[in-house]
Amino acid sequence: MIRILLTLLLLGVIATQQGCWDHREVERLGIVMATGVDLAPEGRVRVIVQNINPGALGKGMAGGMGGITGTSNKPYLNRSIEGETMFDAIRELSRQTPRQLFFAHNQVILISEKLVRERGVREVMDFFERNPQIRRTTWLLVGKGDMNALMDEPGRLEGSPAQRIFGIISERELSSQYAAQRLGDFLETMESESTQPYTAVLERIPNKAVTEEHKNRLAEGHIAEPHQNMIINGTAVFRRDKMAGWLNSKESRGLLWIRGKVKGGIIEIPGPEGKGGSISLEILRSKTKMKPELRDGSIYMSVSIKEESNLGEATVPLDLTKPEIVKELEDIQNQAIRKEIESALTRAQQDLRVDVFGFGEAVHRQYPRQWKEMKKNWQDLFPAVQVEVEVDSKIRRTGMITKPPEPKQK
Amino acid sequence: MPRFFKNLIKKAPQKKPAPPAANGRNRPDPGQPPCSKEDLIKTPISTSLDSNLDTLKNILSHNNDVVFRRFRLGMGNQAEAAVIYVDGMIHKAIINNDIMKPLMLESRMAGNNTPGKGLLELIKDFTISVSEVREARSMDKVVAGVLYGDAALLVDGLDTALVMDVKGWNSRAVEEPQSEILVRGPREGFTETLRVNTTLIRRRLRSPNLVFEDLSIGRVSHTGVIMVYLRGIASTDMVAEVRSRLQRINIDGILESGYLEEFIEDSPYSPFPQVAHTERPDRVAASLLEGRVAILTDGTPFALIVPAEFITFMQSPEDYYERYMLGTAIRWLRYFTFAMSLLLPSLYIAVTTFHQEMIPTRLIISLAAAREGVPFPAFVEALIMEFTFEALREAGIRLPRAVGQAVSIVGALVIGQAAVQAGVVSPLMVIVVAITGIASFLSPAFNMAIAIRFLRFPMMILAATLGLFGVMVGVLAILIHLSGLRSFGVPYLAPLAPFHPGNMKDVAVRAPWWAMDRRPSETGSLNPRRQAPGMKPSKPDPGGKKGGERG
Repeated sequence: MIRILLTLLLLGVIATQQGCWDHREVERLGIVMATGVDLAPEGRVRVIVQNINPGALGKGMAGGMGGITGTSNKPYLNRSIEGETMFDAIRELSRQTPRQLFFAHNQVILISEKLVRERGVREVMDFFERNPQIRRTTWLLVGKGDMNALMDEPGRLEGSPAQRIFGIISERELSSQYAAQRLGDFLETMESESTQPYTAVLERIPNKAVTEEHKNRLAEGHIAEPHQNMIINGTAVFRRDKMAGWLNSKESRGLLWIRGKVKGGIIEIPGPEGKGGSISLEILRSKTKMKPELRDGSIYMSVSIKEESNLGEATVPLDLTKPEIVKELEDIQNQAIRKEIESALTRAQQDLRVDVFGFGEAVHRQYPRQWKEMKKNWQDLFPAVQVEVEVDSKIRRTGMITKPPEPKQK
Repeated sequence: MPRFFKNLIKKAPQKKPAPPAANGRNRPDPGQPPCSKEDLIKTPISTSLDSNLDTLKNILSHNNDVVFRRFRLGMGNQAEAAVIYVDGMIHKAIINNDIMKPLMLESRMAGNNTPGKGLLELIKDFTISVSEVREARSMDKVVAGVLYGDAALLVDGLDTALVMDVKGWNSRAVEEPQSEILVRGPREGFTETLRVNTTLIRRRLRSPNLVFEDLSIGRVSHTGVIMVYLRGIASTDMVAEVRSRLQRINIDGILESGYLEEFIEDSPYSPFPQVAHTERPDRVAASLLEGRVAILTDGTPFALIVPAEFITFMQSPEDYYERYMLGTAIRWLRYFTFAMSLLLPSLYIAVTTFHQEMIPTRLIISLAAAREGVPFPAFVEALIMEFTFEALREAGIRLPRAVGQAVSIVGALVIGQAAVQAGVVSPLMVIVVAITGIASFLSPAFNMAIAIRFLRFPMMILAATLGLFGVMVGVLAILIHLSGLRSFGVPYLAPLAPFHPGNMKDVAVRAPWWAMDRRPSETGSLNPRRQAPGMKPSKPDPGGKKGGERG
């Protein structure tokens, strides 16, 4: 009996005396949803932290307790500060924020184009890689233009810019026109011997829905559309840790084709010869095989792509019940895909001379012994890689109709 | 299997049965004064009616419910006789018509036309028309009988008393058991009367091997306790062990089977029940068929079933009456809610105060919003809500039905609405507590449910101080404790640990009846097969069908 009492007593002491040192209540956390990094004068960094205002965002939950929170309605709060290092800046922020910043729910890291071009990301990456709160699944993007403005563009459907960006990236497979990378993947390619990192670029564009005539109506108490929109536009390509250049939408998709990451999007092809018009094909799935070969002292890379798509729209009348028509369209599609890939190859091999495709790694896997020699001057070898692109595409379905609607009356 | 019991008896000498005649009342009792009624009781019956009545009156003095009725027999030289009984415990009609009337009147008419027989035979074999009559030669038998609703007949000149069974008292009718309600299954439940309960079991198992072994326990109460088992199915070691544990009990009174439970369980310091109880005769019958032993106690509708492993507290009789797929699904629901009723509040506390990174982003925003303005840490909040909930639940049970409803309305308003609106607790906490409450009601065994209810609080403290690590420590501690427990020698976590694949048919799933062809080996190893092989119904043979139907 005494033994049992003693055990209970000891358990009680253990449970109560260790002091709950890392105990934090949820509402005491400053939940960070997005982090921006920008260049500051004198070699310092500027950190922009987007805090969530749960009182305004979690309205559905707190509906029953109206009036108690008393916080402003803006669902997020941006704070911007300079420091010697990232961590220095963030700790400096604690003098401004009543709540301890909590990065585990950070969705997006935005690094300004200026920093990426001039200083390189290596220094700030140390913080992101070292800090246990930062997830390696966080999306990493390059921000174009003024960072403070970029991070204050909330839209109306999502509560905060962070959620908005996250939402856009979640739908990336509908277009496959930019190559966004997660922090972990970015770091992996950055530290690779041959492959160079890349990630998508975020910028602001004017909202085309707001025309001059439309603006006049705002005076009548009409709720304003945001005048600026956010768009993810193309891909930033890095050499080591600095941005080397930019791929446009087409080139970005070329990169994704080679990387085998195209899971959707629209391919625009012209109609069959003599018919004109244009046809939109919706990509269903694709598969890429990369096989290097060392032949006659040069490096050959055979890239074969298998793709399947649906016919989504056709502006010319086509009889798709005939297999030869479908076959013809497939051939045109092969050409279109090949063109996209070649545009990316030209850009990366000839203009930028950075291996974003992972050719080096493929060679490494296939020819580990020869690679030891090659890796020293891969930078110079890469532009000379002979790429043989082979595309095999199929059109699977043609939608609800086989013949397009046509006015029959004369 | 029997090894368990042997080891157990060896290792636990204090549990050895007391001397064979350990029948409560016969035991010398140090607590009683030397010249007590106990001594008087043992006196033999003398031939003098007067002295016998004096002795009895002395023993049963100041009792206004004991009736002494003196009269003269219609035979044997009109010898004086007396009937003694306790008013209210007997059928008066039987005493009047079947005992007094034949003795006083009808025997006179018959005269002494059966010569050569003694007076005792004449009375017992020819006159009294009562089915159960016992001869008693000492006062203790007489007193015990009288106090249990028998009538005693003392005749002047005879040193033998006749104790006649004329029991008849008001008792509750057989009703649907309140604590174990089923949708499908028999509606009969045990009552407070021992004999009714044995009948309910006997009617389900009409086997000569069904044994009702009588043990009376309680120095003062002399409560009838009956050990029930199926000879040839229940292991003899098990039966002997149960008997010896019951016989060592020396207490003044047993008012409910809960008394017995605490005397016979293996680990008295465990919060977990090691003896199952039920109000359902069908559940007792099913347990007997598995080779278990049931203990019926007079005065309570709750029968005990031993041994009871952890898994038996998760099984409801309805699992076996409904279709087996549903039985399996509901069983899994029960396992899941069992874990939830133990862990949900502590997991909530641990995750929200230590591991916020584990919560989905959208949820943590709602959580933070809901908790904004709540003045207490999550642990205190949970404690308040759990405390209120337990208090309401307890109040709901105790109060009369009409008031109980008012309490539940007030409770729902207080917990659900007012507390949230006042900002004392967050709405999410209300959900957590409500789900936990519902989850704990799913347990088919109330005693297991209250064990979990009790353990929830230490788990919450561990969660609030050590986070998920603390929750894991708590779960591990409970698991270690559970795997160390035994119920009458059977490992508590059997057949999970020690793992016994053959018995899993009634654990992870409720296998169809035709597949459960063996008794659980923990209890039924003596007679493992419960059905003939190949009982799975199959499609009728097509050849035979043709001939049979057309012909």
